[in-house]
Amino acid sequence: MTAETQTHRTSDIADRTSPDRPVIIRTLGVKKIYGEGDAATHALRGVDAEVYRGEFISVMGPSGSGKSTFFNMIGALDSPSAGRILIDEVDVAQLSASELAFLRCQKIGYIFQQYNLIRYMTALENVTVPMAFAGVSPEDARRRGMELLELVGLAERWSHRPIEMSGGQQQRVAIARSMCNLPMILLADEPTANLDFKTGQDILDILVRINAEKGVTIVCSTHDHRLLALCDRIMWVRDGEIERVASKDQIKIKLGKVGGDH
Amino acid sequence: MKPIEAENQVALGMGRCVRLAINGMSYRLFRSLVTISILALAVAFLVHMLAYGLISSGVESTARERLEVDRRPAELLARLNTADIRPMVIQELSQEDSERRTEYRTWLGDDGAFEGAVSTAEDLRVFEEWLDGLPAADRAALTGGQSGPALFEGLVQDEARARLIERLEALGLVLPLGGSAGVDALFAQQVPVFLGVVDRVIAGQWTAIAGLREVLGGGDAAGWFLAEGEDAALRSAVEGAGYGMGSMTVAEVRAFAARTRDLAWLDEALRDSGVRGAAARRLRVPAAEVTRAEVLSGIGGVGDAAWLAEALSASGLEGPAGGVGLSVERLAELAQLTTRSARLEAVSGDGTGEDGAAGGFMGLPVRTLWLVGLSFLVCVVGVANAMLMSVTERFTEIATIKCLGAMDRFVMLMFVFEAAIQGVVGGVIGVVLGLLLAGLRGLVDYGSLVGLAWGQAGLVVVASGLAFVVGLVLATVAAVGPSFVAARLAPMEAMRVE
Repeated sequence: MTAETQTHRTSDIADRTSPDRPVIIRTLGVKKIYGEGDAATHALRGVDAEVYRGEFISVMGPSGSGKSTFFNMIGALDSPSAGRILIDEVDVAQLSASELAFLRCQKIGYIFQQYNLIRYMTALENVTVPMAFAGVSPEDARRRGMELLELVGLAERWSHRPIEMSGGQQQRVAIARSMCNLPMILLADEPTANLDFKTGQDILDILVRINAEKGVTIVCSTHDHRLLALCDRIMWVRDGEIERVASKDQIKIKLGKVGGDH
Repeated sequence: MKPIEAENQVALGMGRCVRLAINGMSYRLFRSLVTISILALAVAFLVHMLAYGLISSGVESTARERLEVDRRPAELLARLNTADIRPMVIQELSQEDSERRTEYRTWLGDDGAFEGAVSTAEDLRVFEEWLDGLPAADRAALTGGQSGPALFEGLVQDEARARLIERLEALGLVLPLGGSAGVDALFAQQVPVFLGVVDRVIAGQWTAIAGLREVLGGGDAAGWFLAEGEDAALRSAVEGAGYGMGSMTVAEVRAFAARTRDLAWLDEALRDSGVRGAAARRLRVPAAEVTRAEVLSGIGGVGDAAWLAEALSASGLEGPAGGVGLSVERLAELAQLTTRSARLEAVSGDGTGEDGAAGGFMGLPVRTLWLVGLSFLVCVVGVANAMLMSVTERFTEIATIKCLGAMDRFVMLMFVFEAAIQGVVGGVIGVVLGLLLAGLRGLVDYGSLVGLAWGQAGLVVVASGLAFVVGLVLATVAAVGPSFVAARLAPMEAMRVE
């Protein structure tokens, strides 16, 4: 977590365009079944996917398509019924509880549709929670928390509780929180679904900026078609399977050819 | 680029966990206060039940002891006038710790016969206690409703005894004292001898009384104590006649005798129309309804007694100890003593009823123990519910902090610490509240006599400590279960629990 690492990272942004891009998240035949017997719901039916280091990838699909489940799987928030999830070529299933906590704390940042801020804490305190778990001293955590709030444009509202903030502001606090331990991966589960058009745009701008400036890999599940233009790749999920993966360029071409197909 | 090192998450120190837990509590101050209040109420309830039970049993037993002490001079004077009656002698002989056994031994003057009588008396007590243990209907059928000496004297008759043993065998009961043969022997041989010894004891006591009258002059025993004379001489005369005075002093007996005399005189004086009229005016009741008790209960201090002293001296009646009437001070003293006895009587309870029977735990009555048990249950349910609620309503929060890198251990510690802190705070408040309530209720019920329970202070402290520990342990244990479950859920499972 030093300036050195950050510089190092920024220099890696070039990787995104290189042909042999390193894979940071890889899923192999991941299945997730809720319930048992006749009542069983197949949320994921064997997903093989790759996320490249440093890219901004969107996961799109209708409600119930399994994209939230997929999101939880690659975030190590839930365990798959079958298949493997490799984060930086490390099988998540092999990690101990402590290593999983380390992964969630330091390597992955999470942004939720419902913001999931701790409601009795101020914006700054919410941002510093993961740093407390990472063993950062309270003074350093506060200083860094203020920097992050500055980054999302909420520095002057640091002492407000979630209830005193708008949805967009809460989501910005959540983004600041997700970034506080300088994660490699940012997982955003429908970050704009509860927000109006303008506020959603602000959030997306922040995400794009973080991706570009910090070189953080971003996986964003969404309905929001604005992301088509903003992200590097798009993955369509339908009925628990990956329907299609396309890069931004391919989309543009495709849109140009087929017209209003989507 | 940072590679993923499969590192272990930093384990937070205890201090850090406590700080975070306290932090969290101060944020959720209101919710914490609710939980603390529930805990405090539960503990207060328990403390109140225990402390009030201890106070009331303390007041009652101390009041009974005081009354017992007050009664001793009266008893002595009565026994110096008249010998004990048969049932009393039989009763006292069967009591191992009776002080009168020594007196009876002296009056009998025959140690061999005395030992035999004591052993028979004890057998009779065993038999009577066995009878008391039978169902009421059986007992009535066996004894024809008789009990004590009357029953024993009846059973000396062969016919009555044969009938009893026949009935006992018909009921198929297991008899004490070695079966029907033993019971038969007891009543056929021992009891007639025993009753003879009892009569000799009584005769011996009469002889002793006659001797005392010769030395101290005829008339009432109270008169011996009121007469001029040396305390030591009087005491040695009484004890020489075989009476045990124990810790009682001659002065105590004299004070009692004087009080009895003065009260009796006051009764007489109230028959005088002048005094009676003054009392009726003072009490604002018809003259016919004036009683000594009412007159005295209206006298709280020396000032209140002035009217009565005046009325008495105006009547010109000769006072009990010479002179005219009674002094203001004496009247106030009489009033105070009468009131004290009445109040002790009122709070002493009977101490014999089944409800009042002392149980094993802290010497509390069984009824109180039931209530304590029930309040303990209320305490358990209340605390468990409060803790369960405070964990389950925060599942989303738990899921969120797990996403942010909290270890299971931290989640559990956070809740257990929180519960423990709430347990301590709630416990302290509860103990204070419970003690206040119990003290207040004691004051309402017993007034200033609540001080009689001072001897129970140690037990009250123990009970408070116990209730505090119960609250703390309950709170902590009740939080461990749900937080253990919550901590072990995968983050997304916890979030779904909502």
